Amino acid sequence: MGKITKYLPSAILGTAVAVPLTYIAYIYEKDDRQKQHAILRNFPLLGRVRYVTEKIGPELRQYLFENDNEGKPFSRLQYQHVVKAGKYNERLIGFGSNRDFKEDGYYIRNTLFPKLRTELLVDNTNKINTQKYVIDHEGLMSRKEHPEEVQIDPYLLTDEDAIVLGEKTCREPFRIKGQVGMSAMSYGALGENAITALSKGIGMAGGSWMNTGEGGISDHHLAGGVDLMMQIGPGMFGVRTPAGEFSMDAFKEKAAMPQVKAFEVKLAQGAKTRGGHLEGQKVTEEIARIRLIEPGKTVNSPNRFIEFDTFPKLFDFIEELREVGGKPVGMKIVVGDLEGLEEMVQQLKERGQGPDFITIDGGEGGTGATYQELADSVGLPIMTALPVVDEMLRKYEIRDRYRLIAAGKLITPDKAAIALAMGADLINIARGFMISVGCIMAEVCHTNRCPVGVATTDPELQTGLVVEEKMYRVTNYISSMRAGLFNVAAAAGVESPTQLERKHIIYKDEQGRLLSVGSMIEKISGAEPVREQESGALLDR
Amino acid sequence: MFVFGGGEDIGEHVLKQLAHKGHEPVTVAETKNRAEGLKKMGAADVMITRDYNFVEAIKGSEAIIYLAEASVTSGENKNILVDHKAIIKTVEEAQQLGINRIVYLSAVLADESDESKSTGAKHEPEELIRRDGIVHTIIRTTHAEAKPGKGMVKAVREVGVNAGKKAGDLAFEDIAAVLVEALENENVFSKTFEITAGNTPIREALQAL
Repeated sequence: MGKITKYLPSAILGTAVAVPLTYIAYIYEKDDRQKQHAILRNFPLLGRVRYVTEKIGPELRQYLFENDNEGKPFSRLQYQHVVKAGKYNERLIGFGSNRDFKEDGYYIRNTLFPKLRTELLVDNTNKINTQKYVIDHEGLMSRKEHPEEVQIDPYLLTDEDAIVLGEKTCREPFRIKGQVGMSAMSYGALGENAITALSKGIGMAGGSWMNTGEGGISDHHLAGGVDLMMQIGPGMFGVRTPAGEFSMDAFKEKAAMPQVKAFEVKLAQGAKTRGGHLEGQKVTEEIARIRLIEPGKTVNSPNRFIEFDTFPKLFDFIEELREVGGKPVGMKIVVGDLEGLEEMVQQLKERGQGPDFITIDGGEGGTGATYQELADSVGLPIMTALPVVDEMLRKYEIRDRYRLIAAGKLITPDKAAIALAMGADLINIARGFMISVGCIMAEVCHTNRCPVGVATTDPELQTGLVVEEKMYRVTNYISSMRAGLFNVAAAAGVESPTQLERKHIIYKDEQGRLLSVGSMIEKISGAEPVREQESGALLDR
Repeated sequence: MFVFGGGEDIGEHVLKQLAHKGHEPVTVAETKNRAEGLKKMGAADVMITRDYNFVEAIKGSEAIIYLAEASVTSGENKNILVDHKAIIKTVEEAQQLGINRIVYLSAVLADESDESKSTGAKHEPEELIRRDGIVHTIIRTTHAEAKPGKGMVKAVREVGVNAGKKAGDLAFEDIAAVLVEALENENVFSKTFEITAGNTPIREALQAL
């Protein structure tokens, strides 16, 4: 006993020093001998500092060092605007804008006699019962807040203003009273909790839609009773034969579902003009059943529909789908090839209808997984692509036949309003909705390791996403977006966001010179704009 | 039914609930677009503020619901602009046309202190309505806000000062339901009562007064 008490302290101390020293020596030796990293061969142990800081750099930049406007794809501020709209149903900011007014960009042209609240054409008949957070106390180390039940206005369009897809062409046209909906996000790319929360949230907000993405219709999409747009991609998921060809029987089954209101044929997506890739380990029994593929087997979609490689073939297919299903069918495109676009519009003019709506995805669009070269450099951004398509349809005098849906980082009401003024009828949002259900922009969607359980099918990680908590945020975000659109419309002097036109926005370059949308189109495509509604000597024509 | 203040937060719910019960509510709005909106909510007819004739408007109504709605989001010792003349005129014209029923949502908050209740003479319209021999029901509420209604309240002659603070805010929807229920519930004819958030179904609460 005496010996133990005598020698124990020094034994502990000795071990405490010796073990780390041995470990350090081992690491030093290991670094010195390895052949993979030059920096570690020359500076064993010390060189490891480089890898550690490289690893934590993105998070440090995101939280500490980047200014509020710097972050990409979305800055801290843009992200916060979405979070606040969802969590607190709040769009107020203090002290003024953080936008860099020296930079070029679009501005909304306000009138000096805006519309009063009572002059707006809005349908607030059916209030939305939702939940928002109220902050009790904001301290340095903690924030005390509690959820409160609230009743909010839905800010829907009036029945007369509703956007109708397939009004003149379908047995069952799709009437849409809210101009903001969810862009394509597949079950599989997002987990069941995220999809369910989105479905319920959009369902509660009403008047909107949810695009299923190309991964088929899951029970999670159906959970909230929301109107669905089913997307059909080159993989034909959900509407295919076992060999991967299109199956009309499977399509009829989907078209007969009352919740399915429209179909979208995906030619391309802003983030990737390539086919999807789904790892075999992700193909669970459920996903296999939804997509009509074999469980456990990796699927690679072709990067275009194998069956059609010309516009006539494509339009034949689209028209057949509409004839059989009786519901509106649209197509999703990315604009890059202006000659090709003109050819498409010419064909549409000559043959008649084709699709009911055209979804234009900007090159800046998001995705769960794509190659850098395609994401960064293929396809034009939405603020260029959209007016070009709008103009091309006007030039051939067929603009009134089609509804245009715009997508590409339009996550705040001002951006969405600018797109509406450029010619869009509806706005598709994906990442804004992801943020509303808890996305923190960790940028690991492609790894199935999403830390907040949004872009993952991992059941462990998904426990972080509580559906009953997040669905209200989706509802609040969508109604905030709609309220914001009415706000902008009133400022521009029109009664409804459906009345926003090119003349309500203006482009300002770095020198402060002003350009109309029309003259921007001229600069982009060399085409004389058809109907120039601009006036004023300030405008550089 | 003629609803004064049909375009306000509680008024919208009143219109909806009246229409739901098969009544034909008539109200006033500032603009044509707002009028269309209120018709969608259930108003059978909506006059435009600028160019309507008040007497013509209330002609043919069986009853009047008058909402002095500014009160429910106001507070202790706040002035509320109450148009006394409008209320006097309403009652006078109504009686001449043989309309004999008025439900008045008071500009006075239920749980204000006595001093606050008379600030800016906002209690005076109540006196006028009581004096006038028309079958009245005067309702005072505690502070209210836009939240889902429960279909339940607490209704008593006097809730007491700061009762709302203890009980929590009322929902606009529930206040509207009390007004619509009071319209035909004979138990509350010629009565003044106060409501606050509570757990009694609305019909029962009014029956028990």
